[in-house]
Amino acid sequence: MIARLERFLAALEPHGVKCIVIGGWAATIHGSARSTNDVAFVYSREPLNLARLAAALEPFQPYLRGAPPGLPFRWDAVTIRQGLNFTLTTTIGDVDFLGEVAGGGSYEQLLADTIEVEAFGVRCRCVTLEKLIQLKRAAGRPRDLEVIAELQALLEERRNLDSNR
Amino acid sequence: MPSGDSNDLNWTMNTSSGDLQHLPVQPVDVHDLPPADIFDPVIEAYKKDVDRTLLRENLKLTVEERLRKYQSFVDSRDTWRLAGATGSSHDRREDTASS
Repeated sequence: MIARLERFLAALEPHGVKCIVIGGWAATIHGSARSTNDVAFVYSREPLNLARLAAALEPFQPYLRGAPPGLPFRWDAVTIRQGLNFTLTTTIGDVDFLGEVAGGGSYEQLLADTIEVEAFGVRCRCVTLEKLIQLKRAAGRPRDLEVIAELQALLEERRNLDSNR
Repeated sequence: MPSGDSNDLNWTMNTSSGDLQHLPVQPVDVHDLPPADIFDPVIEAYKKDVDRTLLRENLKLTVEERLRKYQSFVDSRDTWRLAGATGSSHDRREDTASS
């Protein structure tokens, strides 16, 4: 199943989960034309937020992606506190919830490099295009080279557009 | 493996013993990263293949319009994938029946 950003946002927003959209969907928000299947968030590790995140996602039967079926995995605030970065399958698609991200650090560290966007009646925080490029660079994955090239081209096009206004 | 609650610890697997071990994580200075528009000849080489007309069109759209456009593409792709998979299994059945 292709995960859709708005399904996760609709699940997270009513619970007031503090999180930031990163990865491929953040690129789409900024205007990328590339295809992505990843829904990825950096979430706040505040205790209250862990409880909110657990409650928001629990109805969608989160389970560790790639793990054999039948493991005693319980999605709750204790599990989230004891872990950090979770790659999950859910009934509304695959999703990554990261407590920290390479080059961006924690939610609180990343917050200054975000913008608020609204779509489908839901508000969310999304990492800036500039920071997204830095995160992709910091990840150091060869498969991201094309992505970084497109994002830099997008940044140039946006600056051209802004300078012509 | 997920790291523990403390920010200065991380988990790793000791391959010789199979035990999990705590290892210190090098702190990431998130403010000490190269700028987003830094010149990189490798990236520049990839950039030549970027279709900027698509980017310019996307920049004219609102965020919601960008998301809808992408989801329309995904829906279309899924439809064709399903059609392809159904067609492949149909072809296999016909091959089996004719042989």
